[in-house]
Amino acid sequence: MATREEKIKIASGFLKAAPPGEINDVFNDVRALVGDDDLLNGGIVNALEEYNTEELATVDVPGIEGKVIVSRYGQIESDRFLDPKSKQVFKLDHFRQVATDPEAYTEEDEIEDLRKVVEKDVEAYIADRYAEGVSAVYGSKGVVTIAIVHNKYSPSNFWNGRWRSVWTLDTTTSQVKGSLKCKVHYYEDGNVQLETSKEVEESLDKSSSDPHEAISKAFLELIASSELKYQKALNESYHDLAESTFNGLRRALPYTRTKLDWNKILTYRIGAELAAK
Amino acid sequence: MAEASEHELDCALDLMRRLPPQNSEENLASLVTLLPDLTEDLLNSIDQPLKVSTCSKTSREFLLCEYNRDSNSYRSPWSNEFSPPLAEATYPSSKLRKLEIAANEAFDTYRELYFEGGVSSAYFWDLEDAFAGVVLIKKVGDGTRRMKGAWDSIHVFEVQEKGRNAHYQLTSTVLLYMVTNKQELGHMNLSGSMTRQAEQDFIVDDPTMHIANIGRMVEEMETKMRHLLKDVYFGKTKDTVNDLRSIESLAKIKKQQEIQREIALKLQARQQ
Repeated sequence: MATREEKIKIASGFLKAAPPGEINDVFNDVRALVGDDDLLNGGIVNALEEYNTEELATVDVPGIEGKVIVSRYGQIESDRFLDPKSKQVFKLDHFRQVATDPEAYTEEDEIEDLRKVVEKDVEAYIADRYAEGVSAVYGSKGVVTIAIVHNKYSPSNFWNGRWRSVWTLDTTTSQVKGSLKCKVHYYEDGNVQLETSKEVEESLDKSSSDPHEAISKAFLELIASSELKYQKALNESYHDLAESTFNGLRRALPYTRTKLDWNKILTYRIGAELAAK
Repeated sequence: MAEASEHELDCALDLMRRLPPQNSEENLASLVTLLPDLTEDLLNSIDQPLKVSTCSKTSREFLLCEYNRDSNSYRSPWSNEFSPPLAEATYPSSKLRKLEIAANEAFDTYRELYFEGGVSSAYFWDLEDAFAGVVLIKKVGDGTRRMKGAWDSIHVFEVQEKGRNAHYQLTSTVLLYMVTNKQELGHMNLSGSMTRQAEQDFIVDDPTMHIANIGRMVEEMETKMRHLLKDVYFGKTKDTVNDLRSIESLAKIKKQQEIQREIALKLQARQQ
């Protein structure tokens, strides 16, 4: 029999691996398999917190228009998160992904002016590339962090997908770091999943003494070109996988270009053996 | 099976259809830890990538599965011997073993023609008035062009003889794993599993015709599943990625659509 610790570890692992849009389905399965709600309620909140912040969960916050991103860049306490645009801090129920108790956030970082400019540019960029994408721009200790997430769920057609990008600009060093991740699950009479991750490191040709507008423009141009380059590489890899890797595993037809003659197949073998001798 | 266990098994299978297929081995191990009473059912209903062993007598490689396992030993299709040796083990009847030998030869040729490498094994077992078997194929890609891959196919069939005819029931599972790492791409994992079933009747004039009949069904099924995985399943995940992020400017696409709509309206107006 599995110990309490083992059960929590297994349940947490399953939850963190849930495909986009399927955390509730995975939770329901896990709940039935563990068969101990008290154990689950006490044990898996850390896994759900990790899932929500890592996967950039999007929630509705009372009084705020549009979806709000949950991420560790805006995490104030384990269940309290900042929405940098509205300057509100809200409480998050990690189990149900429900936000409550918004409060004004009064602390202001000295990078706030640049953050606001970047926020405006990011919103324009999102609108132009991610049909229903959600973004957040955080500013703290000389670093501007952009989180982008676009979810498309279609469980009735058995597919769900998520794109995540996180970009940071360290204004003291002009270093830009990017992390691009994609997960797609297609499960009509099967289980096929795509999982990708790409890290980017670049240097911005602007310094903190440049005007905010110029810094933001250069930052967004770098993001747009990196993301485009990445998306093209991903599409090319699909082509290579289908044409070369897939063929290398199993061919569509034998190299003889005809299907097997099963009536003769045992004779083939005898023929081959005779030829070898 | 008790109703509660049945519900647990359903949930375990639903979970396996959702979790990343590339982690199926560790996920199955976790399920067995959670549900020790269902170990047998879980092992029988969740297909896993096949393991390879080498026959000590013939030095040929063969594949391991639940169907050639007896306690902790596995039977080689080439020597018919269990390794480690077993004092008391179940073997196919001598008549069926002859057919099994021929099937292993035939599917070895099939494997070479379609897979150009890899390992295949066929195991048959007697049923009352009938027999059943499994055909296994495993191919691990050579990792050229920084792309690694693996294909496992598991074809389980049951044969019922009715006079000159035989009825065949086939359940086929393909497990596919592909991963690539490149500078401009980073890491990409595209993996999947799918199961399909087929039933067919064929004439059987002599026992070796069973092999040709099963062979045709396996060939057709594998070709169909390969096509589905490549064109339908992978195509769908690719389309979804390009739906999540648009390569083209959405404003530009919208503008083009508006222009097209205007042209269509003007053409309509002229025709009236």
